[in-house]
Amino acid sequence: MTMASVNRAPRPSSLADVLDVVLDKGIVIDAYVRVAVVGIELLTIDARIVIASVDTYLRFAEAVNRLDLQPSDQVAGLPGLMDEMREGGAAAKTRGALSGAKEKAQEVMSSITGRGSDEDEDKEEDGEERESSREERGVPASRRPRSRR
Amino acid sequence: MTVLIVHGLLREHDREVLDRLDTPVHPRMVAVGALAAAVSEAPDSGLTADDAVAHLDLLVALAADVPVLPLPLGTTAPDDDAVREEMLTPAADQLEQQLAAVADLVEVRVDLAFDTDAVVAEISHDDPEIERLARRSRAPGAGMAERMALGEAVAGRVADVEIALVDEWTAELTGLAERAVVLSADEQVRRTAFCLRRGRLADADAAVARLRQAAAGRAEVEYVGPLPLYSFLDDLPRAPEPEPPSRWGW
Repeated sequence: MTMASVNRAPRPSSLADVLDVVLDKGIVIDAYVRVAVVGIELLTIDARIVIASVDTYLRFAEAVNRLDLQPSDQVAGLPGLMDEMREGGAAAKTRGALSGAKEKAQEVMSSITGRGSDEDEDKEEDGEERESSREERGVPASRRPRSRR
Repeated sequence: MTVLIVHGLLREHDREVLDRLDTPVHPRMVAVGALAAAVSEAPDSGLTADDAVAHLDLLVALAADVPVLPLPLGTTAPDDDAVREEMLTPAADQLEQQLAAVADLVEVRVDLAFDTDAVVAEISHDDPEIERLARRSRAPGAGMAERMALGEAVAGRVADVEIALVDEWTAELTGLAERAVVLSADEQVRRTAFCLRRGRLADADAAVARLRQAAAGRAEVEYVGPLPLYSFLDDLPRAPEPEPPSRWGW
């Protein structure tokens, strides 16, 4: 047996991936599919998409800002300054619409993770760029149970 | 009342494979003609996660040796006669064709779990748009909207880079496979299933070993198989759709 074959697992390692296979896939023979599965929580797919997107975007934003691509005081002359002023105005207009979406996302997140929204609000108010590890958020999006097609 | 779980379908002449199984589930065979079903008695308390794992382990063990058509977990029948008369017999021709079609094929899967921070670092430098959005998100008064805009832009670029890398790294495996299909593609894990001839499994192992080297430091590789052809069941032969009844009832 070669090293390569040793590294081939016989089946997916996570329970979520196992469930994804055995519940969703297979030959369906009419009238004899009676899924009687207990103790396996299937989350609402729409809610998971919302959480995954918000979580991803914020994580990427934090990752980029940690890179410190350019000092924030380096603005490219007058055009850069004008650009920032325009962006500031646009941001103010869009903030209202986005805050509604954020509140909705926080509601869904709280209902699924059991975490309250206070923590996120505090974080934003304090302006802290807190490291948000995946472990804090529980199972990664790709490892959560998927719903049927 | 006893209820049977029907795990999978196989050829009757492969029945001796059940004697060699070393799995938590010890199924028995219910056969009619050239077809057989691997069945076991359902637990009284309903199925649990352990039963799901055991069901998959059984099908994987079968698929390692013989062609098998997997059934979804929870496929049940009241007794052996129902399996024979209502499950196997009515669709016998189609099921036999499908078993013949999968006889020499197995599925392997490759998951690439990217180190997204490394990818972000790679793509963010020298990208004026990302620099602009990053600057904006750090400006005084910036909030959630600016951070989301930055994150969305980065997510788009991360996806582009990861798709290109997956294509590059899996090209050799794709060349070995009869078919390939992308099963999931989020920013963390990109999963591809490959339909392989059994005889090419060793070649696939070698290709994945090279893939691991190419991806080292940028992505973790999970390589799974051989599985039943879960991701390619839609390609199997099907019975023709029945003609729609005439509006006159003829």
